Amino acid sequence: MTIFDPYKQRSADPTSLNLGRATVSPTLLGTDIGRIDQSRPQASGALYALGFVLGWAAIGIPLILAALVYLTPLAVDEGWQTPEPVGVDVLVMAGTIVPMVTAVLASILAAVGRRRIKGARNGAGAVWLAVSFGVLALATVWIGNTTGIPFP
Amino acid sequence: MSWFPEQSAPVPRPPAPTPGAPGGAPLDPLERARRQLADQLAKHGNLLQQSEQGQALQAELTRRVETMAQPWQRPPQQGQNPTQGTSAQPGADSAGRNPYGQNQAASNQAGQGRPGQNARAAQNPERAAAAGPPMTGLVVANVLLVLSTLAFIVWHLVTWSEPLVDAVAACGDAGGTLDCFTGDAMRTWVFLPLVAAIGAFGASAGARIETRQHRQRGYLLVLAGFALLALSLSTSFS
Repeated sequence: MTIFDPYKQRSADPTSLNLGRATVSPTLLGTDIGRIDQSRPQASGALYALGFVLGWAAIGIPLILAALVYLTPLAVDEGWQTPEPVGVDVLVMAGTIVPMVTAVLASILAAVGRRRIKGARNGAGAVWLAVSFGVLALATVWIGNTTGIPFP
Repeated sequence: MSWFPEQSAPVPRPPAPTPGAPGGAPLDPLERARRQLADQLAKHGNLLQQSEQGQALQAELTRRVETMAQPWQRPPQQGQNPTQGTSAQPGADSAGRNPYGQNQAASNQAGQGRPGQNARAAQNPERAAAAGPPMTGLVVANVLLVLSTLAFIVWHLVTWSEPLVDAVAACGDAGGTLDCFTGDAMRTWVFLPLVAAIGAFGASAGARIETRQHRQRGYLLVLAGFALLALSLSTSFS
């Protein structure tokens, strides 16, 4: 039982302290799983984990995509078939510039979102993470459509 | 009592004077001293009992204040300025960096914080960390998660590199396209383990944040990390 919860139960004990803060104690299977102090926002660990994954995906996915784009002429040399012939401009644009820009931009956006979440501003952090995810998804889909790589 | 004496109830007569009654005849001095002594004894007993109750209440209050989880929920302590931690000369050198622009010396003179105002959260991370109960179980689970993720990566590289290379080479020999690099073998043995490992590390980071905030839900994050690893493991074998 928390002694700070003025809304949960009213104690007859004269020594109980009610400091007037609205707190909620969520329970799981009858066990108290922490206390939510509604007057002081707290960082969301799950959202932070999501931002962590997004930040590394923003580096990993463009890397994988660029590797696949540059693997295409190699596959042609090996005798493999390619989805369609790939020009140098496509190689430069979809294999180098767009992945680099995407990696830098999306990782910076995700880092800003993670920083916001760490500062207990979960809403703003979620917005930054959503923008980062949008940039990453857009670049992935564009590269896939341009080069014919069936990545996702 | 009525104005009419015939309607009023009979007035109770005072009891007959007895030698021991207080309103009666004068006591002998020995008896009076005995009664005064008994009265004083009873009074002292009452006082003693009240002070014991007060001490018990005070002890209970102190215990409850000390078991409060977060430092910002504690009432301001005497002899400690809530706006600035510990400084020997609070009036002189901190008047310039008082963020509210009010007279620091006057507020110091007025008292330590306003009545009804809680103490601020400690800026010192050591004090903030020591404020709550130590979450040893969560820390141990988190460390276990990180170690098992590292072990998972090493084990995965050792175990599944050869099947992966074989599968991709067979796909290429069979006249496959670039699908070989994004096919089922790559998804099962590269992409999903990558996502699982990164997700497990992310869950570990989130659980660390929850540990810092003394929230028990960090266990759920650790559990999610282990679930990701288990999912990748079972997919690799199937």
